[in-house]
Amino acid sequence: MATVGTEWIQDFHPPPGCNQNQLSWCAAGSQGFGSAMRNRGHTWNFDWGDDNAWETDWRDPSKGGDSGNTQGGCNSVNFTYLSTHGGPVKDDAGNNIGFLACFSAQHQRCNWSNTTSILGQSVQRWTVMDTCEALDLPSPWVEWWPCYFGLHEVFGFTGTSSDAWWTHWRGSDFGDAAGRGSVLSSSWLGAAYSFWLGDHPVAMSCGVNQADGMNRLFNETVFSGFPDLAHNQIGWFQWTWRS
Amino acid sequence: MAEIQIPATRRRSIPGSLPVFSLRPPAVSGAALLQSARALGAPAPSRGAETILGEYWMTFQDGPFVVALHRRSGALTYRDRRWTVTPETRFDLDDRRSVAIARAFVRKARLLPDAGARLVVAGVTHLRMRGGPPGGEPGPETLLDAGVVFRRQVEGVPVIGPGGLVMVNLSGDGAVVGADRVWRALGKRAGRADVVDLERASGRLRSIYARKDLLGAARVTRIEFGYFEAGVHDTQAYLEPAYAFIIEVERPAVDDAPALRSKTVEVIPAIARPRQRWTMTVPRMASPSPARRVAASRR
Repeated sequence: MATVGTEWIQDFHPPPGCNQNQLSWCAAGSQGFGSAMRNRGHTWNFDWGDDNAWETDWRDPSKGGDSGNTQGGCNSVNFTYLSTHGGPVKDDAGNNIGFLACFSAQHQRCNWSNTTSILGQSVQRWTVMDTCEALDLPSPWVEWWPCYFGLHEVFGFTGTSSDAWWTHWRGSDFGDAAGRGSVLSSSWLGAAYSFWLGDHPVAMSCGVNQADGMNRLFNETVFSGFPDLAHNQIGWFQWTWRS
Repeated sequence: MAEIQIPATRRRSIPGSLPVFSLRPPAVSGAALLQSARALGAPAPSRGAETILGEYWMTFQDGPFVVALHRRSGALTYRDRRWTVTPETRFDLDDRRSVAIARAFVRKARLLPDAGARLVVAGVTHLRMRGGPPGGEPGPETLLDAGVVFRRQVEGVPVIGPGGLVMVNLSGDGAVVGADRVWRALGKRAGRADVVDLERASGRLRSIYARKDLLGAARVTRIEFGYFEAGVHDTQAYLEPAYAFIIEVERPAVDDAPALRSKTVEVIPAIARPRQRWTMTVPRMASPSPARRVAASRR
């Protein structure tokens, strides 16, 4: 069985606090996922919201973070789910080079950039970025490769994703399917795709080569036990989406 | 106080009044589920067949065939799990052929609760994949299936929202490998109501946004008018006209943070006194964490 950690931020603060536009349904998404996984027998270890969710939970200790802490560190559980604002980190030429997510408490910083992370070095295997633009096409691997150190699969969206009553069930639906052992990629696409609102979820796996990447992407479940890949073993990224 | 940009749109004429319809409660039972499964093409139940009653779904499972009905909405989902993606999986049927197969399937499987309902093609989507080596160029995009989406119309008026649609999934050989339906059975007419015009609905939207404190510009990217049908998880008793405003907000880049976009939808009833009431609250989850966090290092 898997261990699960959820974080969500929807109530931001005016300056000098961490200022972003308010969101409404992030708690429902993240907690829906945690609750559904728990209902399927998995262990929901932590659930931090708003000012209790910290970017240090995602930043690696080598970069001054605390991602291994057992209270809320992303590397302390198998499956993480983060729901907040997000977008690509770009270089001076405008190319995507990473992913950034927003927090409301300046525990140390207001924003987490995944370029400060080493994900999967401990027990973390899967992560959902329930934000806008976490896996932007056409090359979502660019945003994630630098922090892929044992992580198996990332779930997110290309383009914007809706923050709305009508779509907040995606966390719960994904947790229900994933928790009972359905294939993770198809479960995420089934739960998060919205024809009406133009929400386009993406799932991305890594592999030692193309065949391995495809096999993992279309067959991995929380029970399947695919071996971890060290950063230097990754020879391929494979991703799928519906549009 | 925030302003929202609403584009001037040339819209087809919106009727001055429309009938309101009641919706029949979903017929979810073991017998209905089995009947749906047979109509969808499942063989007679084997000894291993099982029906599972979950919190939200009632599911029939027999080998690779999985059919489920949602207990609140009557939404149906069907999967033939013999279809999986392999390195050889391809989809190259054209849209016209895909639509024809999907349309015939909807009729044959009696997928819609309203006999004679008009199926309007809303689009043909595809499950897609792509891959590449880190640091290298991605390979070509591969289509894996087709998802033919039909939307509902009621007396010529489009149905909008997350409901009122059917998606039929086809594999490359033209076989139906899945379907999803959110399409509540129409009941009786429950009166007729005057329709609020777009300007008045836009005024309501502006007043909602006037109370918000936004960073960056909010703009309406799409306006829809029609009967509003809710999604899989919602109980709905009436089908009534509404406007849906799909809204994007872009907060400009600040310091080291890039520009960030967000998207939401506001659904505004298009009649003065809607009968449908939405309970937009989420049950409080039993979170494993305490209400207030104290850093372990400070304890």
